[in-house]
Amino acid sequence: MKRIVAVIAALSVVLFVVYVMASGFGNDPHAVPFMMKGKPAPLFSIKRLDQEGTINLKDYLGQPVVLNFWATWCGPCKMEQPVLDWAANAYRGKAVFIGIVFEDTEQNTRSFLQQTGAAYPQVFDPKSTVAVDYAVSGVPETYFINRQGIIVKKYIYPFGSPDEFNDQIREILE
Amino acid sequence: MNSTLGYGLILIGLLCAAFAAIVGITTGLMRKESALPLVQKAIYGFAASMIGANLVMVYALLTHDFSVKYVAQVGSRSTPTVYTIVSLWSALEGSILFWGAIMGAYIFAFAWTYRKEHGRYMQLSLGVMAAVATFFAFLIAGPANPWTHIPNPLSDGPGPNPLLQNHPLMIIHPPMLYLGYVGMTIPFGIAAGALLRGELGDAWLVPLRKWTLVPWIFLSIGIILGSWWAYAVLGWGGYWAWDPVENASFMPWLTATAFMHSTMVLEKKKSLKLWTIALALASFILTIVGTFMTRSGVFNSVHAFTQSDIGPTFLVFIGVLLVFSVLLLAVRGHMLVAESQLGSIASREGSILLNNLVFAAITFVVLLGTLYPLITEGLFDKKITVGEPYFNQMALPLSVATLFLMGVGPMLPWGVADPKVVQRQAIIPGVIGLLVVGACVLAGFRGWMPLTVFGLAGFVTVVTLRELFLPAQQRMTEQKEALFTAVFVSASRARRRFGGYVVHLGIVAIMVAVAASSAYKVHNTGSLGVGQTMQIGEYKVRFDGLEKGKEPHREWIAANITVISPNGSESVSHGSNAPRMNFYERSNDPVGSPSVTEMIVRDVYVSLLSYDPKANTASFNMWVFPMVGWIWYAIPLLVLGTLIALWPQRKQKVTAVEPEADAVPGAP
Repeated sequence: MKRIVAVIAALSVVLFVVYVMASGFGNDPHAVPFMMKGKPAPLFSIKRLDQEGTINLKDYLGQPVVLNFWATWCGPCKMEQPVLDWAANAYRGKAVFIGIVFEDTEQNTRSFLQQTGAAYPQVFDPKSTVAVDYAVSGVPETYFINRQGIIVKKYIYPFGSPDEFNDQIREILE
Repeated sequence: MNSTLGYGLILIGLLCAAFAAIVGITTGLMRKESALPLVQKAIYGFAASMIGANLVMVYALLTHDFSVKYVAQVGSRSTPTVYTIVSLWSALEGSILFWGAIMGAYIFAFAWTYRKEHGRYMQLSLGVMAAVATFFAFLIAGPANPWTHIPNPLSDGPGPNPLLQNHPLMIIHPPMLYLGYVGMTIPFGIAAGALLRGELGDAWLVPLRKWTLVPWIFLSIGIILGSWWAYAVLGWGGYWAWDPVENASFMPWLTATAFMHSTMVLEKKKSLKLWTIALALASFILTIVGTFMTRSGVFNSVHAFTQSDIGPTFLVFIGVLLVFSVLLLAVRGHMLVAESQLGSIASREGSILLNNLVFAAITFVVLLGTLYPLITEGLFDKKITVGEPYFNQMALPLSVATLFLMGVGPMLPWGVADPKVVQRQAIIPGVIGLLVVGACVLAGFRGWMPLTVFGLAGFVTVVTLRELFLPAQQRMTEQKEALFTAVFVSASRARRRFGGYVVHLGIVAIMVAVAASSAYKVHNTGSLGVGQTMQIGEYKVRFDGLEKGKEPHREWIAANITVISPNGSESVSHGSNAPRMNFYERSNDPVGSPSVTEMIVRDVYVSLLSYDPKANTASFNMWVFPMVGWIWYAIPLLVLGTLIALWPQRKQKVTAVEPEADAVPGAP
């Protein structure tokens, strides 16, 4: 009797394991995880780099927000910067843009911004805490937050053109 | 022509394997040993056709026969010859084909080695191995067929994955891993044969042990080389990320290691029979689960092949294997009863049992962490990832426990331990372990985990060296032999024991290296202009300018650097040795490769993040990793120990009974 119970228990575990593995069919093995989808955007308050003062995300709730995570050492981040500068101007009054630098040094970022200028607020995340809260997996990553403060989507590639950006922002403007 | 020939050979292989499986298992169960020669011939036929099919594929790759689907997928006229051969296993279909060749070679070697021995088990074992071979031959003939003929082929192809062309380690790492994975088929067949037969004699235990040790060493080398490759090529400043595919290779290694220890209890005490057999079955099933992880597209991993259709077929096979193993253990397990009970936990067998439980616990932790994202998604539709913190917090303390047991186990005798003797034996290693901790604290090292590892490493090293050299010392005293002769003779008379302890020394080196390189690494990042330097720990790195280069299969841009040591000496890394970005003709993204300035006690590791040719600047990620190289330097110790353990004993007539060379307290 004991043996039968043990066999049934073992076969149940086998069935469970096979079911769990089968449930993963159709997944993209190289997909970048997006665990914050549909969740309230974590609030933060950090020092601005482009001018004095701090940026508090709470102040912008009720408006669409575009959060761009980047670093000065990241080539693709530099490539997409003109598109983001264009977008910040094109969507002025319709959406708030914030650039968040992490995995970098404050000195590097300041000297970089002095050379290039900034079309929208830039903040520095010294201990990567904001990046961890948003579960950022690399740079560049751009998060789109709707008026209700919910993270709607993220874009893990550099923006190559204004059209590419327009396609992504549409959903949070509705 | 190549397509037809290759596919034809696969079909012959499939027929041979299926024949060997059916005849082997049925006649084995009926105990008709007269059918063995037929099974053996079918096995030889399978091996020959699989190896032949692989040779045809290599020929097709080398002659750029783009009418073969797989060649069109991974071949390129600009790829260097060596990487053209390597591309045999660079994509899914080719890797399964290569798997088939290794499986053919393994089963052939096993069948040939024991062609005149172990008749009572051989048909059943070869039948089970052939059943596994049938599955893989079916995969190659059907869902993962690389031979499809392309009627109007292009004149050139895209070449293999650029990452695989970036470092010579990629030539060795996958075959080693495959030799480890595929080799586990043999102990699986041996164990299943014993269960089907319903007995496990001492004589059958020898091939079971030896043929587990062979894939174990290949798996060990494959895992270490894989981590070395990740470190030397990918440029993210690490060698192990608890990625599902890495975990997939680690789990069978853990169970196979546990198996190797439990066989000692089985031999000495005639107990743990069923557990040992279960470990052999589990090691093989975990290799198949690992293969499924890499090739099904189900697991999110940087190592995964792209999505494919073979996942469901593999999953059915895993289900069949699991059900077969559970039923086999349930129905036949009671026939493998222990002939004695395990005694106190404070004994050699007790410490090995504890060691087995710790290995099983680590395996469970790793398996749970790997499957957990799928469990939450499948059951609760919730996406989560399980990262390094979980694995480190759960697996590292257990790994430290194994290190502790590596020191304590050899000090304990079989049976009942005399506490006074054990205490006496523990004094010197214990004091040295504490001295190591003290010295590390005085040198400025902090953190309880690395200090515990260093202390235990000191303790284990002393115990192991004592176990290695005590028999030699006795010979020097009693037989008046010279040191070298005494060591050689004592080692050759207790090869498994001596080899095992040499492997232990290698494992100690790896654990110290992992602890030091994880706890005391230094990281810095930033941009540099030409002539500027950046501080990284005690070292400085100077940027010497950008340099362009060209090879047949790629172009690159290197950021030349010079690493300046604290004493002022300079190590120049320019051109192909510098951190660089590689541009492959048919790849959109550049592939970075770091520069590693290796020293015995630490590496300075610099990877290029971006560069600006106009401003002549470059951005770097830099690390100093203490002792990281010891992980790979341990490979020779592991190989040496394994070779000593595997070296065949010369068969000779015994004319007089000599006292055992290893008859010392605590000898296994």
